Amino acid sequence: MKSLGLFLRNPTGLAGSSLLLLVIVAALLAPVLFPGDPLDMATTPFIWPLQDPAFPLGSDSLGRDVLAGIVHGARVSVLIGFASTFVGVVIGTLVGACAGYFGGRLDDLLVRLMEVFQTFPPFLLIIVLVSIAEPSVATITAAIGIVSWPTVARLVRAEFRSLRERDFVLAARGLGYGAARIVFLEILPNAAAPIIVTTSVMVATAILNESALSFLGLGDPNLVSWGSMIGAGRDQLRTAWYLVALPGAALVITVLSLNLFGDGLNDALNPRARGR
Amino acid sequence: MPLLAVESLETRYGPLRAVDGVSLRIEAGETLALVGESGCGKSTLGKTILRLVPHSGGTVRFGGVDVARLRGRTLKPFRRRMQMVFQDPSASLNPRQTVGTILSAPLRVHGVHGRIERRRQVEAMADRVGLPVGGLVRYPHEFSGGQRQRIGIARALILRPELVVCDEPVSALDVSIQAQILNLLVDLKSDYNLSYLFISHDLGVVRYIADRIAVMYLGRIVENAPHHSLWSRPLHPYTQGLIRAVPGQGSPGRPNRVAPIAGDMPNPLDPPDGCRFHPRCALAADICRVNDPPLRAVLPGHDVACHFASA
Repeated sequence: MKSLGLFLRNPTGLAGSSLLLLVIVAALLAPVLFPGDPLDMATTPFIWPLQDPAFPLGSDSLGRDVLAGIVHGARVSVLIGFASTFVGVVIGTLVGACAGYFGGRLDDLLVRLMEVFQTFPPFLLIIVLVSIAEPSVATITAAIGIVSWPTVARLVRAEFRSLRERDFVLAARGLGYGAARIVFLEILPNAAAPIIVTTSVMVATAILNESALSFLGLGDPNLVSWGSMIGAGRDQLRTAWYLVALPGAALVITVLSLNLFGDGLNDALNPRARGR
Repeated sequence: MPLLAVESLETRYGPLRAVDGVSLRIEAGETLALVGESGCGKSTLGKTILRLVPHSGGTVRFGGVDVARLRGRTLKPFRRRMQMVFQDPSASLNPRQTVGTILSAPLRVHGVHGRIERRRQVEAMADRVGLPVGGLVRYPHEFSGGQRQRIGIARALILRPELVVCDEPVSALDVSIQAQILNLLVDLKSDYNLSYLFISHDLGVVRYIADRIAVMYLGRIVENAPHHSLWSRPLHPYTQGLIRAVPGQGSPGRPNRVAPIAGDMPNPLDPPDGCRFHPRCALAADICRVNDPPLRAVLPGHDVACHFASA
């Protein structure tokens, strides 16, 4: 609770969370604000922003509403960003906790596994995974999650390696607590702060990865995404640059808000950084 | 049968023999103090007995059962009977748990069912060690050092153990608080019929609480004697040096001068041949450089490991 107060008094964190809230509200309200499929033709093509009050951000080469696309695109970004990060954090925490707490051969094995995953360029691995499976929200989420877990695993492993030597963990063993109880109830709450901070940056990375996939045309073809809008607008970059710039700006604002949010969380949750 | 009988216990950290062939016994209701310099292995010995550190040889018989051989499920009932009070209460209490959780979790793990029953026991124990009942919803960092050590003691006693290893329980506390905690430990001992292995580097602290005193040097016990016998007739030169170093124990003519034990403790990775104390001993002779003196009974119940000790 003290951390929450600190977080709310932090201008960086406050700015980040306000922007993030805006994106999340837009994503949630998209079907209410813009009912119907944003991929359908709505008006004449190439209306510039601020030209027609009915389409404040204009329309694209197929006469689709750009504002509707951006608002609906937030749904995909937020959904895939949070879902894939959840997958990555759960896998990474489990693997990192086991490696860090038990150590020994299990640790060696799991560290090798992390290294195998980290030797692949992450985006290339996502492309390979998505190409093998049909591109859909579920497969893209899984692919991005699978690529992101080693980062969390390394962090959690390092935290557990130092925390497992602490006296309160020794006391827990002396009291006869089982390994599961020690890992999840004794150590994990003490490792939560850095995991939470990393999570916010991972969401930003996941959103960028999804956009990059969609830009390349490997996203879910039935959903509008900021990446696919940028990809579609690329051909008209000289004549209608706003088709690239507007979804790009949405992406920048979302990723920036997540990074600010992460910085604010770090300041609030990391007592050593307080007062700086 | 003694409550605890340790025989030739050995603990290694890699090439380092932190505990090197220690034997000792604790009778039910007895307090054995283990004293020695920092790094002599006394803390490791306590943790090895409680199975917090793996041993590499010897036996630890608790109530006749060698707990050093037990694993997993068979060890759990013994965990309940042997507990530890740690040196630094701020490090040994989980900062993310309330005092209520810290004290009730052991009961839950050891099958005390029913929230109401657990709460009753937790409140009774908190009250017994002098914690405010309203403090159970608070976190350890909201308490003072002395109060935190009371929480640590309550946690150790909540399972009603028979043996409690107290690892320097007062050395992290202000001197004004030390006596309170020592008195609490003495009271609790008679209330709950406890046996203590009381680890300390301070003979002065130990004199208030110990029935027997074992002096440890470089991983070995060099003297083990009843409290009064050790104070009145210390037989090992190291023990004699320690007693001289206790304030107020100097020779009457020069009350404020302390004769230090010469030199530093040798590198435990490369202990000296023969008697391990000989490089610092005023009595050292040729035999001390060659032969390692075994622990032998010189007086009834008074064991010492020195070639020159005699009744």
